[in-house]
Amino acid sequence: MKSGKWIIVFLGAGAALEMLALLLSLISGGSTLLGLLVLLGILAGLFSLSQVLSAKDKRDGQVVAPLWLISLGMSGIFLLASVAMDSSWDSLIFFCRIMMVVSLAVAVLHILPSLARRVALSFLLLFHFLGIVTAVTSLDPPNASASWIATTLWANVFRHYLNFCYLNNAYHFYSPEPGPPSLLWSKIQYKDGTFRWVKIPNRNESPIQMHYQRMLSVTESSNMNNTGNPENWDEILQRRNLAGLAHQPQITPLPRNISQLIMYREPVEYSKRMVSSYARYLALQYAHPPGQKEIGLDRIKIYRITHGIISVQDLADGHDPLDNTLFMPYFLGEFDSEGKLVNPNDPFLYFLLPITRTMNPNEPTVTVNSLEIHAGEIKRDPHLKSEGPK
Amino acid sequence: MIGSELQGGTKRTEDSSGGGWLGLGECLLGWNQFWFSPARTESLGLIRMVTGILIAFITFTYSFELLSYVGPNGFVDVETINYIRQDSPILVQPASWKGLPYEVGKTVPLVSVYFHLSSPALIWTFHLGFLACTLCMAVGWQSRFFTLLSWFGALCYVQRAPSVLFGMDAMIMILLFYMALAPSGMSFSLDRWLEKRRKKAAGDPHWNAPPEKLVSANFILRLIQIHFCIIYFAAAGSKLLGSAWWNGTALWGVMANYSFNPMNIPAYTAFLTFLAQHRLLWEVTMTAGCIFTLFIESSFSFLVWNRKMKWFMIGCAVLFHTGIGLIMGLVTFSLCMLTFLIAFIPSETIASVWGEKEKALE
Repeated sequence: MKSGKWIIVFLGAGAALEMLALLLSLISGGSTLLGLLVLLGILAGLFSLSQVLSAKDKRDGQVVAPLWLISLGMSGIFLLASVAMDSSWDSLIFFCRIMMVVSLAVAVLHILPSLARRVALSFLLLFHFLGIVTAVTSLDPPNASASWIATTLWANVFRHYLNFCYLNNAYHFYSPEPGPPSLLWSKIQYKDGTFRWVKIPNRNESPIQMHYQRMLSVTESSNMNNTGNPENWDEILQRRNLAGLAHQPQITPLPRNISQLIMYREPVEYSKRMVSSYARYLALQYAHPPGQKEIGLDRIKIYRITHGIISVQDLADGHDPLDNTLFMPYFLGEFDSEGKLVNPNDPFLYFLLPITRTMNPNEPTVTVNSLEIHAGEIKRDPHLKSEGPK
Repeated sequence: MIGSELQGGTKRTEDSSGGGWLGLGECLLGWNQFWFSPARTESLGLIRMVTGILIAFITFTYSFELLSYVGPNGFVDVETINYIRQDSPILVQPASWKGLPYEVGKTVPLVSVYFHLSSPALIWTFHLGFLACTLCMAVGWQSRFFTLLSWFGALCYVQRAPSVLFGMDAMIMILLFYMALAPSGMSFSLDRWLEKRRKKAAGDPHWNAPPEKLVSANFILRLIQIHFCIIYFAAAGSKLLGSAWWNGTALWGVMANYSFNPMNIPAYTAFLTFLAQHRLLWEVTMTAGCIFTLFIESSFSFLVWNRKMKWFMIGCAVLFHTGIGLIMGLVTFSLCMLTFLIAFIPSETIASVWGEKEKALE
């Protein structure tokens, strides 16, 4: 049989499988068999379409079916698939509808005269690149709002296309300035009073570099913050400082001369949900202390650490890039195993817990680690002991 | 300038200036030549092969913690991903000067089979299936079919696991998007090898003739080229908003970032310390690095179209991404960016280099 006939056979098989799936969906609703029929039908249809495209690339005159006809058939297969699928498979139904339109467009483009096809393709590519430019320009520049035209066009015209194809990137790499990385440190507390720390990313625990980089991205997903002043800023700062003074041992109060944006970093809704999901993930992964299945999880405290980049002078003087004082911990909340904040009004929530070191040359150097004090794993921070002058 | 850079296309002739109202005819002719001239397919074939290898590797690396990425209880669980795709409000500024931002919608059209799978066995089945598709794409077997499936497979991961993505994912998705549309199996593919073998067996005297030039090949190459220029220009423009890129210290923020760089390797930290202890050397290195970065990112989009500057710009870009790969450990990202650069290398050059290699092998 010539290759052209196989194309028709595959297309027919695809359509038949989708009709069978549709019939099955009417009789019994969603099932694994239904999913399999839909999948095989689409694959058969796509295979036939790809054969026509390949033959066209090769200028193979043996193909019996024109591209527009196969594309039209493929469009029908996608339509049948979208109708047959259970409504819970919403994203795949959406995908099939989009592909149905794309197949139709391919059919129409193919039957257009050459000039009209070029004009149509020109408009499509202008739409494509205009969309990409709106994605690039709809991100707010520092201390200003993004272009109204870009954001309006992006939101009303292009966002669906760009999100669907995952072309929605602004390409603002390391800008406006290369920033410090974020780390996530989580203290998982069990009902018997024991605990463990889970810290990501961790080079030693990542099997390959790609895994490590993906863990870095997980931490960054918790680092999208509100940039405005909270309405009751004075009140929440006072509450935080009073709670710090009442804490045993005390947690360093935050002086008013530090920028509010450094003291307090409330994540946007997206990041809050990401952190909550991460808490649920930890609760499932580390449900019990090692080797003690009978003991359950109590709470999870999560801290986002901004790991400051060591200054040139400090590195030249031989300081360690992992020095404690380069870490700026922010408390992201205490979560239960369902990922819910135990106390949404926690006075330390989203506040900096500074790690500081006194540098008086006449006195012994003392490190005050508010993170460890707040985490409460020890009643007296071992770093509070004298280290000797540096 | 752009019009004269056509790869294998019809060159503009003296009498085809078009003239017309305010040079509109000239513009349309240039547009037509730029986008719709036929081109050879070797560049696309090479891009497909490298993109296939990269996406196969990327898909393989999901295997290490697959259920944490795309499982129902992963880093982004079902509840959270459903919020992102169904309930996250999209706000825009109002059309008048008064009023607050208003909501234009709540749905984000994300697509992934992994939204709908909860069984680990099924998740692994699809994962292995997608991995097989990427391998077929890399070797160029049924290229049109498997490249499309590889794009869909990659889409399923990036849409399902938004919290684990970084720049590399954006770049590989762009390459896959264009490859899914491209006649990429005409060169450097198993398809091509099988075709040649079939023709040879049938006694076709032209069995070893190069594949025909295609308008679609040129069209896709142009899309990749323009997209790459936008990426570079956007990267440069956004950097110019930062003071550290102006005063020449930004590179320190990149190189001394403990989490992103191999500062756990003593030799690397020793090198940085040595630089830091010699201010003149440090200043020269950092400033030169910043200037080079800004130069390549801001000027590439313009100078790569100039015949005399083209290879210099490609060389600079190769150097730039090799540096990023080596210093920052972003090897796969850098390889993706280098793959984009193949689109700027004429197919004729690739074909002649490959032809010589083939002869040497024979």
